[in-house]
Amino acid sequence: MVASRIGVALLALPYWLGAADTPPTPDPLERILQAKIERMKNQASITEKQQEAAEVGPFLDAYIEPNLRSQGYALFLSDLEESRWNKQTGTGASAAGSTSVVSKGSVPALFGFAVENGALTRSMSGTTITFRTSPANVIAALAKHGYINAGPAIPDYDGSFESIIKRASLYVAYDTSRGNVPGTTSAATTSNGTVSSGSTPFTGDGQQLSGWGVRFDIWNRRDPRHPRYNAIWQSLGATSQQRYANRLNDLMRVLNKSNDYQTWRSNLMKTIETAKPEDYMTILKKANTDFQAMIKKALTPADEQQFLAPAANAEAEYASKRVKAINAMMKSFTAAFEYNVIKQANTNGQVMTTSGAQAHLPDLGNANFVFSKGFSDGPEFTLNAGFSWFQNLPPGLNVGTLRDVQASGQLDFPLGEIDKIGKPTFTLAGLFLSLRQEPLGAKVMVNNVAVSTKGNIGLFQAKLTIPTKSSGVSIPVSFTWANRTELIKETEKRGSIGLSFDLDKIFAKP
Amino acid sequence: MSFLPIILLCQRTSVILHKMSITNPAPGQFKVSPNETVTVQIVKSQAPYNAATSDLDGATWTQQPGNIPGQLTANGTFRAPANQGDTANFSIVFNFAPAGSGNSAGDTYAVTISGIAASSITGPGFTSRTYFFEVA
Repeated sequence: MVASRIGVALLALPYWLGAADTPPTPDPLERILQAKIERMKNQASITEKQQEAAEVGPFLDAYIEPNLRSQGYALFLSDLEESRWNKQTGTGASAAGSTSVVSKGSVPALFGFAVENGALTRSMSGTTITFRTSPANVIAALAKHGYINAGPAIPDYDGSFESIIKRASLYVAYDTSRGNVPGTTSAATTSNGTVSSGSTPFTGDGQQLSGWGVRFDIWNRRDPRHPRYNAIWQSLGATSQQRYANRLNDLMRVLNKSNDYQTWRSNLMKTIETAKPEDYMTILKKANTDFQAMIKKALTPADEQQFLAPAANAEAEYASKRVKAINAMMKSFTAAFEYNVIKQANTNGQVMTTSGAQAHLPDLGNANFVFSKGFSDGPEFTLNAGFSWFQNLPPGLNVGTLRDVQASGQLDFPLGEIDKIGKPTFTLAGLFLSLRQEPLGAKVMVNNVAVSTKGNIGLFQAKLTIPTKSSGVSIPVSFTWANRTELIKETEKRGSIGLSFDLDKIFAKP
Repeated sequence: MSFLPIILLCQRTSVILHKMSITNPAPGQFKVSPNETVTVQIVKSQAPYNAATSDLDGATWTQQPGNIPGQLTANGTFRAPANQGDTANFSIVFNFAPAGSGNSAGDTYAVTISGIAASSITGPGFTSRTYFFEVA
């Protein structure tokens, strides 16, 4: 079954909404200049925009030694790389509509929002809308007038209440296939084995509430602003960053005496004075061409050897060490604990007790440990382990409390850039779930024949997540194969698509 | 004997005039008096501070702005060259440690040179500025 009510056209949504900046592009020069353009846009005054435009760093790229260049243009693009950190915005594997086999190592610090359509272990597909937030971080951002000002989202344990409460986040999830809106079908009817999902608008009421949860980040140091990393920044500042400053200063002394350089600089600044931000790329590309021509006039070959090449190489060396340092920080080990409550279909979903009475389906509690660790060359491994239990078994229902035990793993592989779209992530994930009880708290009846649905579920998923830089929007598209689902002992194949918003990136803008 | 206070007053006035004479005719360009003491202050709005100030070309730092652990401000001073037409320059490489969100916007470095607001630098990534001084 392929369930995808949300069209592939959503791929272009961030650009239609204007939420995304200019999409990343594989053109090496454009990619180098994009960081400069972002800094220009962040500047409030025209004078500062002009200063930033005329800063020569990115224009030195042509003079980097081949061996340093071989480290890749990406070394200059750390700010772009920084924007691809994956966070969990949707629900875990148990919920209807979830397309996530695992909960990831990080969650948004302020707000997250996800729409997912499909299912993993459940028999019924659904569309789940998930809202995530960390109240303490939101309050800190409001009190300090900005997300950046609020400091690390997960500070070190220092005995303060803040260092503990900022680690807590919570979510609520709504399954839009539930509800009793006239003219639509209800979500689940299990007594006769029928499983179906209807088409119900999102109302956000209690009938559609499909779950909620709290999460506590036990260990997470994936914030380069964290005080723990001060020593690394200090070390960079004293070594490669200092060398770059010295070599750049030597070059600027020579260039500043050149009329050709002064003309190039003043022309560029004059152009920027009246330019629109959307024209910055074109202007800077031309400035780069002019810079290369200007250098030939402004510097002698000896000056190029003595001043230009050393400055370019020093910048490349610094950029390389900087991005490696950031990657190491962002690949560090994380550990978190989640407590999730999954509301089983709470409209028509019912079970029959031993006395023959109808009772509402029991809610599920779920405890989940989340571990993650990145590798220096890109991939990231995430491991989840947990169990679920029936939260509120109706009297007379003769089943054990422990419902299932599960473990899952996921490997995320960062991919190369797709022109005009962004840098996707390819994910391979697997899940093992051992059902110790009937999944809904009672046997499922198919044509009045009881079917035991205890047993093991194995699941494999391949997923492509397409992010859109700066907008915080990403679109997961996945294919899932399972040996069975919770209610049906048949092989299941599903396609899913979703849409998630990590609103931290929007709130981090000035 | 009665001229001594006047001479002392003139000397004192002269010193004050030199100290106040720095001008900023263009972004990154400063005119200074011979031997003028120039102060440099770099202030980061959010931790961590991570700016590297180059050696001074054409003069010598009395105090070079450095990275002091836990501090968001770095101070430096130098004495301008002695002769008219002489120049000095230094560069600063500013780094912005990215926030967990992947965006450092809103974080700034503010550079003040002898009381003159010289630059306000924003992220993301890293960038540089060079400051030139000419003895007028």
